[in-house]
Amino acid sequence: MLSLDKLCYQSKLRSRSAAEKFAFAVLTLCVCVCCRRAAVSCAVLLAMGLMTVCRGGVPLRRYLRLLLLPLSFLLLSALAIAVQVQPAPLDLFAVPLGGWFLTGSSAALAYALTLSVTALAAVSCLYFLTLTTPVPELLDVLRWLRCPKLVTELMLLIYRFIFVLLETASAIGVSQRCRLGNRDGRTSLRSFGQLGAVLLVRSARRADALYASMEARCYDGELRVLPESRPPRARALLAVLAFNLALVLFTVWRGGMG
Amino acid sequence: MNDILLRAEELRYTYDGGDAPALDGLSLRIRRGSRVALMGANGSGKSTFLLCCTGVCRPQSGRLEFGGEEVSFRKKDLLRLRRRVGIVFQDPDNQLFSASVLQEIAFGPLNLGLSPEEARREAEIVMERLGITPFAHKPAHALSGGQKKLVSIADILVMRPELILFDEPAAALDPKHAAIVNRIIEGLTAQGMTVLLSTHDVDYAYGWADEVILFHEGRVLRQGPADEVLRDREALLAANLQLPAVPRFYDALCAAGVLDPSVPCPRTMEALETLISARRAEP
Repeated sequence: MLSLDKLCYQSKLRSRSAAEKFAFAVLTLCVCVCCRRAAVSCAVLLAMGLMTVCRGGVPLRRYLRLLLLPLSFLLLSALAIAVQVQPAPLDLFAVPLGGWFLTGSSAALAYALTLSVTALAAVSCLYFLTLTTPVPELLDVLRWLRCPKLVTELMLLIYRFIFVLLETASAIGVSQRCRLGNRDGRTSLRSFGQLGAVLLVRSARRADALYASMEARCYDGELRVLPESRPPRARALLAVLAFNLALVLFTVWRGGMG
Repeated sequence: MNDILLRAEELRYTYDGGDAPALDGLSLRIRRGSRVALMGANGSGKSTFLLCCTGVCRPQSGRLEFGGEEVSFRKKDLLRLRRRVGIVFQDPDNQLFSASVLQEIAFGPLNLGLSPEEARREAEIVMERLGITPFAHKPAHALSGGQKKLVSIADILVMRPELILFDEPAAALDPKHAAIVNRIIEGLTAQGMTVLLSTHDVDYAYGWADEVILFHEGRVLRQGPADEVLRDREALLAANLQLPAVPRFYDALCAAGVLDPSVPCPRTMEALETLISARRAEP
């Protein structure tokens, strides 16, 4: 969480309009998921990678490491789709297991691979947004899209307090370790439980203190936030549309949605 | 024109589930344009009193007046009070909630009814004044403790209050940031703003404050000029405080015959050094 936030604030694309980046990421994600074609997904994966790494300046190794996280989950899911236990062998491979077969078909494998690459491409769209757009600007876009106030206000407070709680949890964790709170598995588990309990109490206290401080600054129930994001440029939005139109046209040319 | 800006009479306040009252018949007066240090042991009621002054805590009994009018705890009146009284909390993490410094500082002006453009302009002026413009678009969690403190002060200054309350402003700050915060407070008082500050730092209070109010168990133990209150060993002992360094050295130097006791005790260490140098230069 901390490193993602740091990378985002260091991104060379940070100064670009949040609405442009949001449109690019979300529209491309929708097109990618709807088309569900391996070629389209690969194009999206490549485009998002280039934008995040080359234009955004996120180190390639960091980006690949970030992609590895969902990839491991996706490969396990793909394995579950591609490999089946059947009474009769399928066309790709078959390992006899008593009277049954551990088997797979080329169609199932192709489906699993398409699904995995599509999911990875969708994740890359979200990584592009996360690694180039600070949360305050993202919230500006959501407000502009008429997202309910309650949701954006909660997102704002959660975003701020994730870091406060992480800091508190880290300080308590260090204090526990300094007093051998991780001496063995049992002690570690108990320390972890205590940490959770303390965090809960402190969160409640912080919430009270925060409310008091907001009230002291004339808060009357409505969280007024200064918009920070720049307006989108028509040229950039047209480029986003053109890219996605190309993806759709390619899908139609190759025989429609997957 | 009424010289008394804030008046508290017999304030009583007990927190929910609290055994002892946090304020137990507290009475005091604050003059307009004065520099007042609230001092006392932990739990003596300083922070609770500051919260009462902004209407965050409502005293269960007693009378609180601001600018000659009794403080009313109706929502509309509270908003009016909070335009005029600003509070900087001890822990900035309890105060900063916005996703960026600029949004954080603009929160108050927007609540005062300023347009986004005006709020931005006001925030930028205060950021420039406190030297925090480079952090304008940073999130609060990316700031150091000292920087967070400066932002929390900017939060309040941008609302241009008449009375500003600081709850232990230099607590947990490194010397550099403590000096910056102290300089800001000096600047405010030089402009004639009334500043009420709770602190445990007797040396700072001795040098800075016009008046010192010693709190003890929710009541005022002693109120008066800093050079009188902070030389009252008995009162200081009751409030878990020590004699400031300047009068301590001054007394020792007088006892040793280095200084003449008829010369008044200076307020700062620098002034004491000058006094000693002048004495040594005498034939």
